Amino acid sequence: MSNPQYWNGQQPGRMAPNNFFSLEPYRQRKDASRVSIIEKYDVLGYIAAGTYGKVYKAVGKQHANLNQLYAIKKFKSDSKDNQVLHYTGISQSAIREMSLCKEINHQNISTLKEIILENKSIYMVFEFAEYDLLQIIHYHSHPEIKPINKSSLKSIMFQILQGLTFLHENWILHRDLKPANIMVTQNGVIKIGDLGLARRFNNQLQTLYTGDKVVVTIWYRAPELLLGARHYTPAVDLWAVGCILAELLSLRPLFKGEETKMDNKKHMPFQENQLLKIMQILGTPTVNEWPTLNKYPEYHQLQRFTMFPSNLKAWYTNNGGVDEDCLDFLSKLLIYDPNVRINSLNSMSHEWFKQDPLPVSNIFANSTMKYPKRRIHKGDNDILGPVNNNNNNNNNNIYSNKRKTNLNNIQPNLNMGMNMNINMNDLTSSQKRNFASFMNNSSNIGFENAKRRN
Amino acid sequence: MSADFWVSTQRSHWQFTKEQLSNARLSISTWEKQKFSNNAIIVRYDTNVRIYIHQMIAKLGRRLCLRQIILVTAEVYISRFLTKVSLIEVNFYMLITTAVYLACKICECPQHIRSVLSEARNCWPEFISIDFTKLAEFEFYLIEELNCFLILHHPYDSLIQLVKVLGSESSIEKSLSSNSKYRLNLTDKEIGHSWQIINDSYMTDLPLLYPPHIIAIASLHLVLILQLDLSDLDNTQISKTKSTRANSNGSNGSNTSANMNMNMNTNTNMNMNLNLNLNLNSNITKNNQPLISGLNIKLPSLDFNKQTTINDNKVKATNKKNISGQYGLRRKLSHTLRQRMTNSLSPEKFASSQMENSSNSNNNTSNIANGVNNSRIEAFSNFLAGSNVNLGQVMEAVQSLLYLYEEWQHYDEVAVRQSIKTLVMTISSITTNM
Repeated sequence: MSNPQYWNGQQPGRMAPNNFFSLEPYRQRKDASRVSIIEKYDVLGYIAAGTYGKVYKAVGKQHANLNQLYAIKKFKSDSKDNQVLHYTGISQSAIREMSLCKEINHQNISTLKEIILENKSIYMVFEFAEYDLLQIIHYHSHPEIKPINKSSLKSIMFQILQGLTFLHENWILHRDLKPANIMVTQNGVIKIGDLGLARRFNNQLQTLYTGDKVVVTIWYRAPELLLGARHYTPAVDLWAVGCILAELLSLRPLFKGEETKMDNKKHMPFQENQLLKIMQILGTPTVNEWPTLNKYPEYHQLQRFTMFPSNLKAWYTNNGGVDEDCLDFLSKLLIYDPNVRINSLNSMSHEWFKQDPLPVSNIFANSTMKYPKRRIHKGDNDILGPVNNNNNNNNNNIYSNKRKTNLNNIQPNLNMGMNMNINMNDLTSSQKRNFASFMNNSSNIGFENAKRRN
Repeated sequence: MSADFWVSTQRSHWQFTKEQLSNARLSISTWEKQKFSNNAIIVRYDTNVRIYIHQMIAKLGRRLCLRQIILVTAEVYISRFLTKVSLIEVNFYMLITTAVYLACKICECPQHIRSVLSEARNCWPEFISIDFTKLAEFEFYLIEELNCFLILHHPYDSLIQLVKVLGSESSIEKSLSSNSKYRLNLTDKEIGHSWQIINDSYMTDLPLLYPPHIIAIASLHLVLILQLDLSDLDNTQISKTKSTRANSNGSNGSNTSANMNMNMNTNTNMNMNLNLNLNLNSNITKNNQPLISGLNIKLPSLDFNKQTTINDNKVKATNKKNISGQYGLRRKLSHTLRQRMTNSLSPEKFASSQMENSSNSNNNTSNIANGVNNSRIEAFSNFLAGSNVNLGQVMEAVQSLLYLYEEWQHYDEVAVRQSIKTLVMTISSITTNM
């Protein structure tokens, strides 16, 4: 097939053979000079896993980073059989997170140290954050309810908004704000993490909806998204912030709807239950308070519901709230009309932040709570190997899988850098196939790995 | 940051000084000479090759129906990549394909890897293998070589801002720019031409050297001063596109020069005065702004000498020598302008040209239209003088652009394609032997 003599001749119109070169000389030079990730970091174990891949806790072992803690996010590579990895094109989600994290730098956004491309995998090395809000909320609600103190609560909110304002000022929508994605460092500094769904929204070549049919985890999804908005604004992030504030107050998700799964081949399902949960607390939206309401694709679905009165104040009082400013702030974050909803910059000058206790830079400053550290899962320190069994880790995870919505399943993380234009249903089915093959293979994979190490 | 060039990684990590850039290129060529004794196959990364890259990106982009911003993003990736890697280390056509594939994702218009690959195979069947993992592999190495800095700032946004500040004729923009004190009334055509020049700027080092606003100003400057609003330029651009499309070999260059020569002849027939060379175009289009006088007005203010004496025809005699018949129009423009640049950039020469100014001022053949254009250029000059823009950089950018257009006269697509073919085939045979 590859007779070099043949190729030295001029053969017009000939198709390139499979092994036609792309970058061999260059690759050899580069691979020879690359410092391996395992020479820079000692992996202690993994701390989280999902469809995107795994996050490992690691400690620096070179002089410059000695004993520093890191969280290394490894994007899953597509590997059918255990060892033979091949390149499949980087997913849109990974490209977004890499490019945005490299470009931005803010104290309330998780700090990227470096990105290592090695062994057909992508490793994003972040500074380690010991806690996240999901963990903190869980600790406050188990086994008995222990409310988060006012100073911490306000400081958390203020720092989230600082980070979010920064993102919005840089034309970036986060689109997946939820407690699990808000990290807290040992020193009590908020770090917004997981920019895998984030994107720039200036110079849109196509609508936001065309790019991603589904954004934001269902419980934190803004009403305009539930109504099928094609164009939406940074206000979707503010809605999620409102939901987070309510969750910090009551230690339960505010709108805990059931996600309607995709059934029809063509259409995105209408998230009836989620909208119902919202209306039960905020009342039924009217064209009066939300003038463009009847322009939304799913507007007609509202006829399904009975009329609900607004109950937010009652909800607030029932959850032990007494601070009028806090209630006012919450209600401004949860305004139905995205054009009226408070924006991130204005929200930071809300009256609530001017009243005692003032927000502080260490959210733990006035707290006596001792939160448990992240649990490290041993048994998979092989960061260079393929990410294999991420679907059976929930048994030893203190957070039940219910808390994690299936958003990650919707994100097209896999499959040839598949773009987001494709039918969601195809994706889900391919995800299902992957899942099935994982379930079939995972025990074998684990076994083989063990054997190989021995 | 992604909204502010001044704190962007483009500025902090991917903006070179001229010296750094030439050092980087020097070390590559040194490496090439050490590595390959066979000099015959080495392809120099010169303007010819860059025009070819530009056109190959456009070719693939047309097949995939991609937007311009994606294509220029890919082109910047390639420029950056080639400051670190020699062309003889990689498959030239795979590099183009990979850069386009990556740029699609960054611009939030992702294309499936297989469709990018199959269109690339349609474009260059001899050089692109059907194995998509090679494209995916190259993506890794491309990103690594770019240090994962993928978000770019382009001059197009700067141009839009400039238009808002300077004022335009378009009714949509008018409301935005009604408060503009400059009132340049830029026409859509002028804005369009600036846009095209920005497109062309990606074939130069400008995106590696200067902030985007410098490039935008330079292109607008070129349009205003030279009145590049020339229908014959449009023609050549069309003929270029056509010839690329039809893959007709080398007809490009000849077409272009044919056009130019024709124009030239008309010119000489119509005007004995070189100063009125461009009046040919004013007959075709509505704009009539003599080249030389425009230059006269512009350059003093660029030196922060707010000489507002207008309509002087400086140093006509020296121009006459350079603009003798055998050059194409584009080339003449470049010669003239560069002559003026070098003169005005050094103080002594500037002073002497001022003297000539006054002595020549009698020869003025100003007219009303001229006055209108001049006042616009004056307004533009005032704007630049009042801004904090680095005018030295603007001038260098203008020169780079003119150099590009000059080189384009000698562009030989067949030769470039052939030498790249030889290169890729040779390297391929070496690597498959290994």
